[in-house]
Amino acid sequence: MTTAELRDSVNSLTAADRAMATVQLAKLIAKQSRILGEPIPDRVQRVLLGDSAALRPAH
Amino acid sequence: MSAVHRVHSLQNLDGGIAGTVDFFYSPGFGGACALLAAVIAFIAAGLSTRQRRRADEAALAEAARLREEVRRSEEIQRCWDRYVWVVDHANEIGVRLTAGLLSRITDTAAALGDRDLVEFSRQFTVELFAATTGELLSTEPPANGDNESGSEVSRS
Repeated sequence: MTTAELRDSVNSLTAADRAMATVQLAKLIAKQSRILGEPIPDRVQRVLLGDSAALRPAH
Repeated sequence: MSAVHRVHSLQNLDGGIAGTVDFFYSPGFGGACALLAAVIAFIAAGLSTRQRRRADEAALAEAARLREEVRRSEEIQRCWDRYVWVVDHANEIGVRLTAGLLSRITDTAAALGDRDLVEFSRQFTVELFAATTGELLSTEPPANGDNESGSEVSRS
Protein backbone atom coordinates (compact mmCIF):
# COMPACT_ATOMS: atom_id res chain seq x y z
CA MET A 1 0.00 0.00 0.00
CA THR A 2 1.43 3.34 -1.01
CA THR A 3 1.16 6.52 1.00
CA ALA A 4 -1.08 7.98 -1.70
CA GLU A 5 -3.51 5.08 -1.29
CA LEU A 6 -3.30 5.52 2.45
CA ARG A 7 -4.09 9.21 2.18
CA ASP A 8 -6.97 8.57 -0.24
CA SER A 9 -8.39 5.99 2.15
CA VAL A 10 -8.27 8.46 5.04
CA ASN A 11 -9.62 11.35 2.97
CA SER A 12 -12.72 9.30 2.13
CA LEU A 13 -13.69 9.26 5.83
CA THR A 14 -16.10 11.71 7.39
CA ALA A 15 -14.70 13.98 10.09
CA ALA A 16 -16.38 11.94 12.81
CA ASP A 17 -15.12 8.65 11.42
CA ARG A 18 -11.65 10.08 11.09
CA ALA A 19 -11.70 11.26 14.71
CA MET A 20 -12.87 7.84 15.91
CA ALA A 21 -10.25 6.11 13.79
CA THR A 22 -7.58 8.42 15.18
CA VAL A 23 -8.52 7.60 18.76
CA GLN A 24 -8.62 3.89 17.93
CA LEU A 25 -5.19 4.10 16.32
CA ALA A 26 -3.82 6.11 19.25
CA LYS A 27 -4.97 3.40 21.66
CA LEU A 28 -3.38 0.75 19.48
CA ILE A 29 -0.08 2.65 19.28
CA ALA A 30 -0.11 3.03 23.06
CA LYS A 31 -0.63 -0.72 23.45
CA GLN A 32 2.11 -1.55 20.96
CA SER A 33 4.46 0.93 22.62
CA ARG A 34 3.83 -0.69 26.01
CA ILE A 35 4.55 -4.15 24.56
CA LEU A 36 7.77 -2.90 22.97
CA GLY A 37 8.75 -0.76 25.94
CA GLU A 38 8.99 2.31 23.75
CA PRO A 39 7.78 5.81 24.57
CA ILE A 40 4.34 6.81 23.34
CA PRO A 41 4.62 9.60 20.73
CA ASP A 42 3.62 13.03 21.98
CA ARG A 43 0.69 13.51 19.61
CA VAL A 44 -0.65 10.07 20.47
CA GLN A 45 -0.44 11.02 24.15
CA ARG A 46 -2.40 14.17 23.48
CA VAL A 47 -5.11 12.30 21.57
CA LEU A 48 -5.40 9.81 24.42
CA LEU A 49 -5.69 12.67 26.91
CA GLY A 50 -8.63 14.04 24.92
CA ASP A 51 -6.90 17.00 23.35
CA SER A 52 -9.30 17.81 20.52
CA ALA A 53 -6.67 19.93 18.79
CA ALA A 54 -4.54 16.82 18.36
CA LEU A 55 -7.41 15.17 16.48
CA ARG A 56 -7.62 17.86 13.89
CA PRO A 57 -5.56 17.45 10.72
CA ALA A 58 -2.38 19.49 10.86
CA HIS A 59 -3.07 20.90 7.40
CA MET B 1 44.15 -80.05 78.34
CA SER B 2 43.92 -83.81 78.54
CA ALA B 3 44.23 -86.11 75.57
CA VAL B 4 40.65 -87.25 75.96
CA HIS B 5 39.39 -83.72 76.04
CA ARG B 6 41.42 -82.92 72.91
CA VAL B 7 39.89 -85.86 71.02
CA HIS B 8 36.41 -84.67 71.99
CA SER B 9 37.21 -81.20 70.72
CA LEU B 10 38.39 -82.58 67.37
CA GLN B 11 35.27 -84.68 67.11
CA ASN B 12 33.14 -81.60 67.78
CA LEU B 13 35.09 -79.63 65.17
CA ASP B 14 34.66 -82.37 62.61
CA GLY B 15 30.98 -82.52 63.38
CA GLY B 16 30.68 -78.70 63.00
CA ILE B 17 32.25 -78.68 59.51
CA ALA B 18 30.08 -81.53 58.43
CA GLY B 19 27.04 -79.67 59.77
CA THR B 20 27.98 -76.53 57.82
CA VAL B 21 28.42 -78.48 54.57
CA ASP B 22 25.12 -80.19 55.17
CA PHE B 23 23.47 -76.76 55.59
CA PHE B 24 24.58 -75.73 52.05
CA TYR B 25 22.77 -78.77 50.67
CA SER B 26 19.70 -78.23 52.79
CA PRO B 27 16.33 -77.20 51.26
CA GLY B 28 16.26 -74.16 53.54
CA PHE B 29 19.49 -72.77 52.10
CA GLY B 30 18.23 -73.47 48.58
CA GLY B 31 15.05 -71.64 49.33
CA ALA B 32 16.95 -68.70 50.82
CA CYS B 33 19.16 -68.52 47.72
CA ALA B 34 16.12 -68.67 45.45
CA LEU B 35 14.50 -65.87 47.44
CA LEU B 36 17.70 -63.77 47.25
CA ALA B 37 17.92 -64.36 43.50
CA ALA B 38 14.30 -63.33 43.12
CA VAL B 39 14.91 -60.15 45.13
CA ILE B 40 17.97 -59.29 43.02
CA ALA B 41 16.04 -59.97 39.81
CA PHE B 42 13.13 -57.85 41.08
CA ILE B 43 15.43 -54.94 41.93
CA ALA B 44 17.24 -55.20 38.58
CA ALA B 45 13.95 -55.29 36.71
CA GLY B 46 12.71 -52.31 38.72
CA LEU B 47 15.85 -50.30 37.96
CA SER B 48 15.67 -51.22 34.29
CA THR B 49 12.01 -50.25 34.10
CA ARG B 50 12.68 -46.96 35.82
CA GLN B 51 15.51 -46.14 33.42
CA ARG B 52 13.37 -47.05 30.43
CA ARG B 53 10.49 -44.97 31.80
CA ARG B 54 12.79 -41.99 32.27
CA ALA B 55 14.11 -42.38 28.72
CA ASP B 56 10.55 -42.65 27.39
CA GLU B 57 9.47 -39.58 29.34
CA ALA B 58 12.46 -37.61 28.03
CA ALA B 59 11.67 -38.69 24.46
CA LEU B 60 8.01 -37.75 24.91
CA ALA B 61 8.95 -34.38 26.37
CA GLU B 62 11.33 -33.71 23.48
CA ALA B 63 8.67 -34.71 20.93
CA ALA B 64 6.13 -32.45 22.67
CA ARG B 65 8.64 -29.58 22.66
CA LEU B 66 9.30 -30.05 18.94
CA ARG B 67 5.56 -30.20 18.19
CA GLU B 68 5.04 -27.00 20.19
CA GLU B 69 7.91 -25.31 18.35
CA VAL B 70 6.46 -26.28 14.97
CA ARG B 71 2.97 -25.12 16.05
CA ARG B 72 4.42 -21.79 17.24
CA SER B 73 6.34 -21.29 13.98
CA GLU B 74 3.24 -22.00 11.93
CA GLU B 75 1.19 -19.65 14.09
CA ILE B 76 3.80 -16.88 13.68
CA GLN B 77 3.85 -17.47 9.91
CA ARG B 78 0.05 -17.22 9.76
CA CYS B 79 0.24 -14.01 11.77
CA TRP B 80 2.76 -12.52 9.34
CA ASP B 81 0.56 -13.58 6.42
CA ARG B 82 -2.40 -11.83 8.07
CA TYR B 83 -0.29 -8.71 8.62
CA VAL B 84 0.79 -8.62 4.96
CA TRP B 85 -2.83 -9.08 3.86
CA VAL B 86 -4.02 -6.26 6.13
CA VAL B 87 -1.33 -3.89 4.84
CA ASP B 88 -2.12 -4.79 1.22
CA HIS B 89 -5.87 -4.35 1.66
CA ALA B 90 -5.95 -1.49 4.17
CA ASN B 91 -7.35 0.95 1.60
CA GLU B 92 -10.16 -1.49 0.74
CA ILE B 93 -11.27 -2.45 4.25
CA GLY B 94 -10.99 1.00 5.79
CA VAL B 95 -8.94 2.49 8.59
CA ARG B 96 -11.09 1.34 11.50
CA LEU B 97 -11.24 -2.30 10.45
CA THR B 98 -7.53 -2.15 9.67
CA ALA B 99 -6.88 -0.84 13.18
CA GLY B 100 -9.01 -3.62 14.66
CA LEU B 101 -7.18 -6.30 12.71
CA LEU B 102 -3.80 -4.80 13.58
CA SER B 103 -4.82 -4.90 17.23
CA ARG B 104 -5.60 -8.62 16.96
CA ILE B 105 -2.33 -9.23 15.14
CA THR B 106 -0.44 -7.29 17.82
CA ASP B 107 -2.06 -9.35 20.59
CA THR B 108 -1.24 -12.62 18.85
CA ALA B 109 2.32 -11.53 18.06
CA ALA B 110 2.86 -10.47 21.67
CA ALA B 111 1.47 -13.77 22.94
CA LEU B 112 3.79 -15.65 20.58
CA GLY B 113 6.75 -13.47 21.58
CA ASP B 114 7.35 -12.17 18.04
CA ARG B 115 8.71 -8.70 18.78
CA ASP B 116 9.47 -7.99 15.11
CA LEU B 117 5.84 -8.40 14.12
CA VAL B 118 4.71 -6.08 16.92
CA GLU B 119 7.29 -3.56 15.71
CA PHE B 120 6.11 -3.83 12.09
CA SER B 121 2.48 -3.50 13.18
CA ARG B 122 3.38 -0.45 15.21
CA GLN B 123 5.15 1.14 12.27
CA PHE B 124 2.10 0.70 10.05
CA THR B 125 -0.23 1.91 12.80
CA VAL B 126 1.91 5.02 13.20
CA GLU B 127 1.65 5.58 9.43
CA LEU B 128 -2.13 5.28 9.62
CA PHE B 129 -2.26 7.57 12.63
CA ALA B 130 -0.11 10.10 10.80
CA ALA B 131 -2.49 9.89 7.85
CA THR B 132 -5.59 10.47 9.97
CA THR B 133 -3.99 13.40 11.78
CA GLY B 134 -2.57 14.90 8.60
CA GLU B 135 1.01 14.18 9.58
CA LEU B 136 1.76 11.61 6.93
CA LEU B 137 5.48 11.31 7.49
CA SER B 138 5.98 9.16 4.43
CA THR B 139 4.86 12.00 2.17
CA GLU B 140 8.22 13.66 2.65
CA PRO B 141 10.09 13.60 -0.67
CA PRO B 142 12.38 10.59 -0.87
CA ALA B 143 16.12 11.14 -1.27
CA ASN B 144 16.07 10.14 -4.96
CA GLY B 145 13.46 12.77 -5.77
CA ASP B 146 10.69 10.35 -6.79
CA ASN B 147 7.06 11.30 -6.47
CA GLU B 148 5.73 10.94 -2.91
CA SER B 149 2.97 8.58 -4.03
CA GLY B 150 5.62 6.05 -4.98
CA SER B 151 6.87 5.52 -1.43
CA GLU B 152 5.56 2.29 -0.04
CA VAL B 153 4.39 1.88 3.51
CA SER B 154 4.98 -1.81 3.34
CA ARG B 155 5.84 -4.38 0.77
CA SER B 156 4.15 -7.74 0.51
